[in-house]
This record gives sequence, structure tokens and C-alpha cells, in this order.
Amino acid sequence: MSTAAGQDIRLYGLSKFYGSFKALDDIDLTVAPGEFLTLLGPSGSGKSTLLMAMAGFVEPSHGDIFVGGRSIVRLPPEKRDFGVVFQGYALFPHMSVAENVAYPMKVRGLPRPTIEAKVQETLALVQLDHLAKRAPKQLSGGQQQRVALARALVFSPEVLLLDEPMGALDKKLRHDLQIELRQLHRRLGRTFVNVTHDQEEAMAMSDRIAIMRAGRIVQLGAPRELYDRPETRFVADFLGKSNFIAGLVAEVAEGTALIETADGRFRHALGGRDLDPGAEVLLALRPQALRLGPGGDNALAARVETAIFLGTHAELTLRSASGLMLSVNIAIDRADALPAEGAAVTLSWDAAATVSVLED
Amino acid sequence: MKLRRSPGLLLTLTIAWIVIGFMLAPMFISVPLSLSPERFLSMPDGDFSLRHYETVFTSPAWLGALGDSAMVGIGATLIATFVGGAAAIGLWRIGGRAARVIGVLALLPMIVPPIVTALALSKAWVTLGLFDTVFGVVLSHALLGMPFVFMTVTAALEGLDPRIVQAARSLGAGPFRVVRDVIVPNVRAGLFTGGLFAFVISWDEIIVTLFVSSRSVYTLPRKIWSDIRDNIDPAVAAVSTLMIGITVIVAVLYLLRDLMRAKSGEA
Repeated sequence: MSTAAGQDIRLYGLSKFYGSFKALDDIDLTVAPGEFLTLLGPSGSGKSTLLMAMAGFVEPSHGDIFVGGRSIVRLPPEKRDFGVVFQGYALFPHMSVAENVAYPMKVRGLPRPTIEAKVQETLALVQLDHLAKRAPKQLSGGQQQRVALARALVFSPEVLLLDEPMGALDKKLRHDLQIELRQLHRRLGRTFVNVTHDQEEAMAMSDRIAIMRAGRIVQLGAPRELYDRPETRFVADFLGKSNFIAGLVAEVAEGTALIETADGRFRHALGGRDLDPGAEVLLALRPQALRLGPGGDNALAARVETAIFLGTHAELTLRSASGLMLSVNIAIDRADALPAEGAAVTLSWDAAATVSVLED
Repeated sequence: MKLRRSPGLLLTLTIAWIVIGFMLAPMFISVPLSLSPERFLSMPDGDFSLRHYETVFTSPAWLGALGDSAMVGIGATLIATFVGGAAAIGLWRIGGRAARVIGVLALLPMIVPPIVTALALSKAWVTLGLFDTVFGVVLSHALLGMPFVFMTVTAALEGLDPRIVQAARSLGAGPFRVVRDVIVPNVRAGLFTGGLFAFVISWDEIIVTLFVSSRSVYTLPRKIWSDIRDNIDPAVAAVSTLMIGITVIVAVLYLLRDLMRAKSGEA
């Protein structure tokens, strides 16, 4: 983490209504200086609207935005001094790469030698110094993305806003650029706010992730924390996949609960979340936390419905006696170790592998 | 490989050339007429003379008309290009259904029959004191040319990513700076083509001109029109030939420019 003495961004009660549609619904959020925060959500969740409200292109219906204690909500975009990388990059087609990158400094009326030096330095930072004279349309998608990044960073804004920066790139390239962007962030120590619908991208790059749904932030935290301790069914299923087992709390003792379900009683480690006996509960269980064969705190007999070999691992779909469908990921060294479809197997998992989530 | 000349192709080509000839021939009738040595409008019978061209370039009436037309044309082109371009850019930035409805309004001067526009403007200009003034004629012609600029600039904006406006704003440019630095350079071709249309429309406009001017503004088409009515002076044929010549030169230059651009685009 950087130790940049930058300013934090605080959003208070930020809302945006389009008629009766709430694109943003009472959002409170603090972005720490130097932090890499990702807004993650399905399309229509309000993540891009939130970013555009910060950039100044969406006027909020209610609420306020502060940067280092100063309200910026009335400022036009050009006075906010945020770098923005747009979806599709929005490079100026009539300018060369170098002219694109020089533009923010030209607008600010900086002297020519300063501009040229800064363009050189920033293009070198994104490894594009050899393409300075090209037109944007002569570049590949990944190169265009770097130009957009250089253009948004060249005037040294404290905050960089990224709207689906990897959206148009293929998977392999995306992975490389994620690592680069993360390194760039560590090196520059500026605040990055990124918008994506790609959970892998969010997990790979972010210090914290805000998961959005229907104009609200449903959970905010470090990637590990969100993955291991989702609070709702939506988060458990959106960030990675989850199996869900519904039941009633039968007994609670010493941090472990016994959950009565249609398939028998299962042991569930509370992990700091209180459950009262008799209460309804929904357990989320990751596909890779399930094992084939006995050996854990819990066991369940099931039948293999489908078994798909994927190289590094296999994906199984199983059905229990009560009709509960479970997906299981298991590491597999040989394709012939795959259980046959229709085979009866025992599944097992540890009490600590389940997390109780709220139905939403 | 040689293209096989089937009877069908031959017939098609013949018809095509007849149609082209039919459309072009009347235009070029003025060329021989203008070279006649006679003092009345007639086909030359062996003798050729440039005396009617001399008339055009020495008579104050013809030179005055040429000057009026040039002044009105340039003024109308400037206003039409500015207003039409601004309207197209503004509506592009607003976007959505409202912009499309207003866009149709912007095209109205092209759709409404010129005689209706002429009548309306003549009444309005008398009330406003613009009747028979250069500014009044310039404004009328600008109104007629504006929809063409609006159309060509709208077409040029079609392929432009609206996010480049936001990008420029985020990089520190105010709204007007964005228009100057980012939008106008990308629609330059549209502005130029629209401006050319606007000039050509003003250059041969007659109906509206007849209604909004009488004596002090006398454009070239108006002079031709009244000369043909009053006396059949072959100078009219000379002026027509000159106008055709200028049009052809401009069109060829324009095509060459397009051709050069296409070539440099390939490279």
C-alpha cells in the first residue's frame, strides 16, 4: 500500500433518480487516499452512474461528494481534476497518440517543453513511447487502452476513475493488463476507482470491492473478506459461485450450530455471526470446499448428474436424496479419475466451510 | 479478361447514355448561343465572337449583379454554416427523441415549398425593415442553405463517439473549448460540404430573392431572369456559360480533393 498523503473522497447519501427509477439509492462511501477501489455489479446496478457522478457527468438528485473535506458536487467535470478512462477509451480520432496525451496539459496552458517532456515520460510509463506518432485507429485495443491511461494520468490527478477499462479486450490480454494496472497503482500511489462487472478483474486488482445491486452498495470490503464472508445470497453467488442449503437452527453450542435440513443435520461454524435456535438459516457453500468421499465434519449422499473435465479441475453437478442440487469443483490429476455420471457418491465438508447469509 | 458484350449490356449502356445526354444537353445549349456574333439570341452560323463576354465584363449592371451575388452568397454561406453546424452539434450532444424532433424542424426550410418561404419572408422583412437590404437577402438565403449544413454535419457526427466530449471535459476543457478542439476538427468535412451546398443554393436562388428584394439588391439569377423577360440579349447565354464553367471547375476540384483523401487513407 502506498503512503500517499492524498485526500479522501466521501460520498454522503448520494442518489440519482430518473423519473421513479432509482439509479443510485442513498449511497454512503469513503474512498481512502491511495486506495484501489472497485465498484462491482451486474449491468444496471448503478456502478457506472456512481462513477460518472464522481466524474461530474451525472448530476446527483440528492447527496454530496467531498474531496478532502471540500464539496465538489457543484463543480463541472473540467474543474474536478480527476483522470477518467472511459469505456471504449474515447481517444480523439483526429489527434496522434502524443497529441492525445498532450491535450490535458495544452488546455492548462503549460509551456511546450514541459508538455513534451511529460508526454515522453508518461508514454514510457505505459510502454508506448515508440508509437507516439500513430493515430489511435492504427493501434490495437490494448494499446488504445494504454493511451487512454496515459492521457488520464499525465496531468497528475490524485484520483483516477476507470469505467470498464478492460471491457473490450480479450481474456488473455485482460489478465496481463490487470497485473500491469495493479503495479501501476502501487507505483503511483494515487487513488483508483474502477468499475467492472468482471469479478475476476475486481478480485485481481482491488484493495477493496464495493458490490452494487439496484443502485445500492450491498457489501464493501477486501476481496478475501467478501469472498469468505459474504453477507447475502446475492454476494455469495455474484462473487464466485455458491451452493445454498436452507434449514432451521436446531442447536447452538460453542460457536457451532446444528442445522436441520431436508437432507439431515449439518454442523456449521458460526464464525462470529449469531444464530438463534429455531431460526431459519441459509448456508452458502463454495463448490471447491466440497470433497468426494467421507472425511469432513459433514457428509451427504448424492448422485452424480453431470461430470465435466476441464483440465485443471472437474466440475460436477450432484443431486441429493431431497433433490438439492450441488455443484462441486475438485482438483483432478487424471481424466479417468472422474466419477461416472449416475454414480452414487458421498460428499463431505467442514463445519467452517459454510457461511450463513441473508436471503435477498 | 475481356468483358463479354451481351446484347442486354449494350442496350443498358445505350439507354444510360441517352438519359445522360438528355439531362446534360440543355445545359450546354448556352455555349454556342453565347458565341453568336449577332445582337439577338441565335445559333452562330460559322462566325464566332466573344463580344457578349465583353459585355458581361464591362457592363456595370452585370458586374454589379455578380458582386451582389458573391456578397450574398458568401454572407449566407457563413451564417448557414455557423447556425446549421451549431444546431447539428448541439442536438447531437443532447441526443434522444427530443433531439430528433427538433432535427426535423431544422430541415423544414428545405421541405417547405420555396414560394411559401418567400411569401412569409417578404411580409416579415417589410415589417422588420429588412426588405430589399443585403442583410435581408443574406438572411433569407442562409435560411435556405442551413438545412443542408445541418444534414451534412449530422452525418459527420454519426460516427463520432460521444464519449470524446466527456473525455475532453475530464481532461480540463470547458464546453466551448471542447467544441473547438474536439468536435469541429472531426466534422470539418461535413461543414465544408454543407457550406458548399449553401453557397450553390444562394448562388442560383431566384424565387425567394424576387420576394425579398426589389432594386437595391440585384443578384445574378435575378438579372438573368429580368433580362430574358425584357430583351433577349445573348449576354445571358454568356453569363450562363460562365456559371456552368465555374460550377464544373468547383465540382472537379471537389472530386479531386475526395480522390486525394481516399488515396491517402489507403496508404
